[in-house]
Amino acid sequence: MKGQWKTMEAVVSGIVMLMFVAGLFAAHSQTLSAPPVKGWDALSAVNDRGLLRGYAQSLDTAAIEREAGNTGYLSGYNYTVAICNATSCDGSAPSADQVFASSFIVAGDDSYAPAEVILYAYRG
Amino acid sequence: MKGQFFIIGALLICSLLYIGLAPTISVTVADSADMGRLAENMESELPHALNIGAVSPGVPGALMGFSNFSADAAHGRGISMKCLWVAIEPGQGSVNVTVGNLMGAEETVGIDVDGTYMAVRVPDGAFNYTELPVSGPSFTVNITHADGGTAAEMPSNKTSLYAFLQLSRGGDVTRKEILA
Repeated sequence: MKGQWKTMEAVVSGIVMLMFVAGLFAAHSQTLSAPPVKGWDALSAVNDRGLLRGYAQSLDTAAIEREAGNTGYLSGYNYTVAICNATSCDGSAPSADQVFASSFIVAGDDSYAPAEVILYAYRG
Repeated sequence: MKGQFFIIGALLICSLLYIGLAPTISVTVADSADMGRLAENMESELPHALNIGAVSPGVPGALMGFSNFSADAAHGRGISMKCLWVAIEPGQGSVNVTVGNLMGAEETVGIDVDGTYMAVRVPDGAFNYTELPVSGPSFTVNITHADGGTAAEMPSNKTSLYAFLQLSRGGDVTRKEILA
C-alpha cells in the first residue's frame, strides 16, 4: 500500500512537471478584440502622408519610428519597427512581456518592391 | 513521505524554472480587427502594385508576386488570404485580360467585354490570359466567378483592375471586391 502511494505521488509530481513545461513552451501569442495601442492607425497615418512606401523601400526603420511616434497614436508606449521583404527582415521584435504587433504591407514606392512594415509597441 | 517529497521537489523545480525563464518569454498580441484592416491595405496596395510593376516585372509578375507576398504575410498573422484578380490592359482595338488565381483551387472566370464572352480557366497559383475586341473610348465588362463578380464600365485607354479577396481566421471571414 505504501509503495502504491509513493508511486501515485511520483506520478502526480511528474504530471505537474509535464504540465508546467507544456504550458511554458506553448504558443505564446493571443488575439485581443481591441488592444490598447493603435499601431495600425499609426502606420496607416504615415502611409496617408505618402511617406511609408518610400521609407519601407529604403529600409529606413528609424524614419518610420519617428513618423509613427509623431502621429500621437503610440503615446505611453515604446515601439520599434521592422521591415521585412521576401528574403529578410531589417529590425526585430523587442523582448518585453507583452508586445502589440501591427503591420502594413506596401508594394513599393517608385518601383516594385513589396515589403511588410511591422510596428511593435510595448511598455517598460 | 518520500512521494510527498517528489511533489514538493517538482513544485520547487517548476518555481525556479519559472523565475529563471519567465522574463525571457514575451507574448505577442495581434489585433483581431486586423482582417478588415488587411482588406483595406490590399485595396490601396494591389492597384499600386499594378501601376509600379506594369513595366518591371510586368502586370502578371507584379500582381502574382504581390498577392503571394501578402498571403504569406497574412499567414504569419494566422490569417488565410485567398485572392482572384483580373487585369485589363489596353491593346490595339482590343483589351488584354489577365486572370490570376490564388483561391486554393482551379477557377473558371467568365469575362464578357461588350457582349463578347470568354471563360478563362486558371489553375491555382497561376495566371492565364485572353484578348477581347473593343471599340470606342470605353467598354462594359462583366466578370463572374464562383464567389461573385462585378459589372463596370472601363476606359479603353488605361489598365484596370478587379480583385476579389477572402480573408479568414477561424470562423471569421471577410470578403472584399476591389475595382480600380
